[in-house]
Amino acid sequence: MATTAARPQLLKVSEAAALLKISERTVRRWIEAESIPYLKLPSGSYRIPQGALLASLRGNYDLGAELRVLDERNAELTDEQVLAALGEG
Amino acid sequence: MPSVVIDTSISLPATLSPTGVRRRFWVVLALGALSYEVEHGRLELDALTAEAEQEGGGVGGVDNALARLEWASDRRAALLERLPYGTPEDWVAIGSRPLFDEYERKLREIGTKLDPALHEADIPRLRRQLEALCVIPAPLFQEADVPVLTADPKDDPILYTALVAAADLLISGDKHLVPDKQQELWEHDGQTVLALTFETLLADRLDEVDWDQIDGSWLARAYDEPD
Repeated sequence: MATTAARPQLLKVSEAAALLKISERTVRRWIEAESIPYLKLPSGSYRIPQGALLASLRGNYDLGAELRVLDERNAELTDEQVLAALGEG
Repeated sequence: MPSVVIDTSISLPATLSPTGVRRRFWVVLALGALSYEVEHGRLELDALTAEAEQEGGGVGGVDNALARLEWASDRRAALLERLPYGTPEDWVAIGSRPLFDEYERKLREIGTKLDPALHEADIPRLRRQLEALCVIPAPLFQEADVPVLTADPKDDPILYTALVAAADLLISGDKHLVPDKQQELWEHDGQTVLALTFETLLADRLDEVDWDQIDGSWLARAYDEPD
């Protein structure tokens, strides 16, 4: 299985933004705020470890609060209803 | 450490329906994500520092990442206290851009049918729920790299993600990925992955888990800041 422990999979700022479908500006803001780990190359460009980037979502957003709002609205929704909408029910 | 790729037939119900069994499976994967972070997070930061020394660059953001590791350890312990005996701690999900993009595409397709109040701003919020769970990154690949593998081109990037990431399992209800609705062994370029339905997964691999004792709302608690 692929692992991040031996050598982290490093992303350019543009690749990190594309992975999460956010703006490069947001990624650069996180770098400036030190809210994601990064490598700054001698050229001045940045590389971001992909695993740590995904893990840092749990600090850069309030995922728990976001989920609770959605869950409250969808409290009555069942797996079967979602699968039926997908045509897989 | 079983690593899994999950398609939209699991990820959409898991994120949209708070009480379904797929959400309870999501709670198990959240525990696995926290376990993985606790176990591998520091190694990844050490590797990043070593990379910087080799390249002649510098690292940043490490202090916050270390604080997040403490946070992950705390949340993992809190979740373990609640989960019933027999719940696996080490199931981890693999992520890739095509996987996240396909989730978003399908969410846009069916989202408002299920939740008329679904707002554009909810789309990235739901996508983040998937991204945050998929702590194992698949190797990067371009759309052009994806070979024809199945009868549906939309399924190929998902299957290819599982193959290039050497996933143990691909969990899917898709008829092109699991034609007999039980399991299918896929092979490409010397790499194999077993695709199986969620029902087969529960019956064959997770039959000792007491799903009735798991609450879908615990997923949000896995992300809360420590008390």
